[in-house]
Amino acid sequence: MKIEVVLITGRTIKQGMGIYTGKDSVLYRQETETIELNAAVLEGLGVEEGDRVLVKTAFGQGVFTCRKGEVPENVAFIPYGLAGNSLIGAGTSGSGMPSYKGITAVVGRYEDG
Amino acid sequence: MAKVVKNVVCTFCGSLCDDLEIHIENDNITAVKKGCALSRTKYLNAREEVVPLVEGKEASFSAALEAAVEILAHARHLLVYGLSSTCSEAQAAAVALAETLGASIDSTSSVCHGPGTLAKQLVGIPTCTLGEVKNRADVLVFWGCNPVEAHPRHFARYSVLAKGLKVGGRRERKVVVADVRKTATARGADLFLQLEPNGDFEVLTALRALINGKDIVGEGAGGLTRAQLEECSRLLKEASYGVFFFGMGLTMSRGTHYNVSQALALVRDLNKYTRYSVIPMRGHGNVAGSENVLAWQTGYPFAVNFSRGYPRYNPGEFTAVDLLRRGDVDAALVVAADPAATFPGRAAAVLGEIPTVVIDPHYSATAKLARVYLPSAAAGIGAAGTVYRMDMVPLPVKKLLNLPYPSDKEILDMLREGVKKCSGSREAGSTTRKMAGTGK
Ligand code: SF4
Repeated sequence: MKIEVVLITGRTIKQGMGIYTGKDSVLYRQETETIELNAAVLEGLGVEEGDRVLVKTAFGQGVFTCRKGEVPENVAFIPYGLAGNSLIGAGTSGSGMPSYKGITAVVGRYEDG
Repeated sequence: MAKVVKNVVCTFCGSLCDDLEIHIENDNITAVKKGCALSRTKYLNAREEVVPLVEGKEASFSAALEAAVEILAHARHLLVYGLSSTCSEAQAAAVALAETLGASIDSTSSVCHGPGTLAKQLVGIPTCTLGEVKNRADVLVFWGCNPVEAHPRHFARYSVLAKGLKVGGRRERKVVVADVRKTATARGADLFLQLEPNGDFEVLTALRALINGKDIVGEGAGGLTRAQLEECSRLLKEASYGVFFFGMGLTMSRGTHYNVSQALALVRDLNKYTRYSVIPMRGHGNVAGSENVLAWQTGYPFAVNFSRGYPRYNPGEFTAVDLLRRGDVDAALVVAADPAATFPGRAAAVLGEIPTVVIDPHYSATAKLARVYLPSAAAGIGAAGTVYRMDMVPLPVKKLLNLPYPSDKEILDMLREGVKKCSGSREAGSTTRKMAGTGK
């Protein structure tokens, strides 16, 4: 099963700390390779916290570890970082700013590809 | 020898808390008092064992500098980028270097509050200092920002929890939070507006209508009910002194600068009824300074190009992500920023394809892609300088440690001297220098 969500990337305190422990550090990598989804969405996908999911957008794809988050069912949140950036397009609509928030993504179980 | 340095300015985020106590032993930071989790991590990891690198191999500092000069002097269109985690003296040196080389210069602003700056140019901004927030503000709006995680001491020092002269602590302030997610900041709000993704513009427009005594069509907007919108407009109007803080939720969502323009227009409308100010929640320690320095030296806050010998401004054309995506630049100089870890994958990858020079105290993700890496002494740790808080108040930062490398400013000055010797500079004909009375 796959679900369509609106992807938001953003700051978390662990991601902020990870900037200074180094982008190779366990803290940074664990935090930035995590996706927060609503509990009902996790259930719908048949995955639990800690399981891996494949996230695809029009610009790229990546594997993320699930975390239960206080997000609406149609929203997924990924902390800013190298992993999340692979899902973001480099177009800026003439503003200089890419769409780091509010783009469409499809999330499915990693095993299902 | 052990010592304690008091009243240290933390340069992690735009709050620039100036009360840190840093404990130093044998030129190493051993403890950070009064800080937050972010500042403690930053200062306890301040000393990183790094070496200059050319093509990934260890080199002497002078050899790396020479290799960097070669790249910069031979670039046809250089991008100078970053500047938000260094002091304003280094930012000024970067502008001078960009001008000498006819380069494009852009700061991390373009991927954080740049759209807010465009909106300021369109609408204008009534603003105030964080001191006024602390002493006077009884209604605080946090729109699309999450200070509990991104600016952890903001509430205690300047806003929600601060005890001011005219307004006491939390009980005397009303807090409105607008966000797509129920963040840690939203959990403590008196009124939480849970927006639909990309619903900001619609909600701000509806609030403007209600505040101006007009009705809205339909039963709500942007994920909010009519009742929620009415409650919010009432609460906003009841302020004696309101302050509207905003973050990436506005600048990174669809509409970017239009979202912020609408927020600024809302605050302009509110000023017909009561006193309101706006402060962007600046992320990096001195990103506000980068806009100030660029504006006073070139007339423009970011996305500036010097290829014609005078500064031109065009976000969307001279912004870093656009220049890289389109392949418009053939070399890059990155100072005190890590675009390889913050730009969309496609734009970041270009930094590994073109010759890139990195000046950074840390061996960053961008340094790993770079042709030349020049380690530096970080401003506020290994070098003194000036930084600007999110409310544009300048603060001096101290040198705390003796680090083995020069400061960002010193390195940028050395590079400029180097390229001037290496190639005929375009500086003599520079319009900005003539206008500033320094053209020779
Ligand atoms: S809130 Fe920001 S400036 Fe203040 S101590 Fe924490 S990271 Fe540093």
